[in-house]
Amino acid sequence: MKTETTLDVSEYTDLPIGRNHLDGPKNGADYRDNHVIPALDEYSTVKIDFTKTLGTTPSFLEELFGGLIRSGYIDTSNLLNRVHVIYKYESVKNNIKKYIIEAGDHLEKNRKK
Amino acid sequence: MKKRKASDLNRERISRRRAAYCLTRPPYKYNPYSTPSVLGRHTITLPNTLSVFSSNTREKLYILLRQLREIPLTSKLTLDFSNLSKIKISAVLVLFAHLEILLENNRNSRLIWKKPADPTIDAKLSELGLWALLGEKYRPVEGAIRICSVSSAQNQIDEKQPLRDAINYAKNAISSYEMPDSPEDTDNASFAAISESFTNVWQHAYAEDLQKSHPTLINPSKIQKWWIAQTHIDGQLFMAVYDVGVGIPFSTRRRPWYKFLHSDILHTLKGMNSDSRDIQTALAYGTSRYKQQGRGNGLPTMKRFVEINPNGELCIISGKGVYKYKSKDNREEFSNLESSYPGTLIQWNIALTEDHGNADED
Repeated sequence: MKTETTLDVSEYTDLPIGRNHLDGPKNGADYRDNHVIPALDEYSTVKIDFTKTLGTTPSFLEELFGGLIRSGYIDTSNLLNRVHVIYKYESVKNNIKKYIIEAGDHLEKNRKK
Repeated sequence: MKKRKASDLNRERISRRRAAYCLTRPPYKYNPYSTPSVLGRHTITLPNTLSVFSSNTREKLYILLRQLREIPLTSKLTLDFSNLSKIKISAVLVLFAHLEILLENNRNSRLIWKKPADPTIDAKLSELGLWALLGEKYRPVEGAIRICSVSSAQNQIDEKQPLRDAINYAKNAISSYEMPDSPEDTDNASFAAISESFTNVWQHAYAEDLQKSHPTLINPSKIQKWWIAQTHIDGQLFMAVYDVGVGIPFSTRRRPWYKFLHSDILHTLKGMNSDSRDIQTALAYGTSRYKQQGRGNGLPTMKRFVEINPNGELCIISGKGVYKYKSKDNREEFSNLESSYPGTLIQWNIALTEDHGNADED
């Protein structure tokens, strides 16, 4: 496995909005499945850079990061260790962490059931 | 016996035909929204105020939309704006959307319009692109943006330039002032609020399995668009988005969690009509125990843009319900409408300096 790569989200879209195909062809689920997961398969650390985008939205970020956990591809601690977000606003990074932890907790609760 | 003449036979035939027509004629129904036509041309006179913020002006706007709906598709139409002396962008946006739909349904309409006597109103409507919609050439004005729309078809092929323009306009307006709170939050919150309103439309308002007819629109199921209007006046940013989808109450009622959450919060919904109660239920979903993991971010994100502003206001109108939120005193208000508005209208008023926030958008 290679060590590190950086994904520039603006190369995918400058408008990272939407959860799934209903919101258009560029969405959180598509970016997760076709860009982030392949990068995680190949690299031990993946940096996701939102700097050149026009902004971020909860639905895109939740589907991207929460969706990685929900799909069972990766667990919470691994995701927090291996994926690093580059963005100017600390509040957005905190929200991403929240989405990851919430999705992990939810999955754990469902497993116990 | 008197001999029957040819004219008697004619008279008899005409009278028989009249009697038969009288028996088969549908009963007359008075339509308060139909406008008289002269030589096939209908004239609709706009009220002196276009606004959705008082019951009187809302009712006048509703009558105007119904009058537009009742114009036969093949008729000629004159829109008389001459009395118009006061406008709010949210009401202009609703009118713009209805006119765009009318023109798309009837591309051959011979439309004439009389401009407002007040030159400032004329200039503002020109700036918002209303005259361009009716057929004039658009003259861009520095610091202004015309009303723009994105259709479902455009969204599906990722043609989102109008959305990009709207986001950039809001960002520029915000960055041109020193915001009283953290500017970074406001900058990203404006992006998130506009974008979430945009994606909510495709997820909920125009969901494939939903259809709803509206009394002000012909074939609303064929029209799947999202409109946005913005203006930036004296330290305030006014933003309004609109769709003609099924509306928040209708969309909320079909959710599996609806009846549980609705009965949980029923004690807080006294005095509201059914649509206002459903808007409140939709707003409560994001923080409720019924929230599906990862979902319910749309309305809270739209509200956050106002919450982080010291003097912001949010207004949501859908169906017969109106929801208002003011960040200054953290106050929520619901009111009931007599007539049902098609789709959903959301307006944000954001103060860009500490001195502003209560100014009107006139």
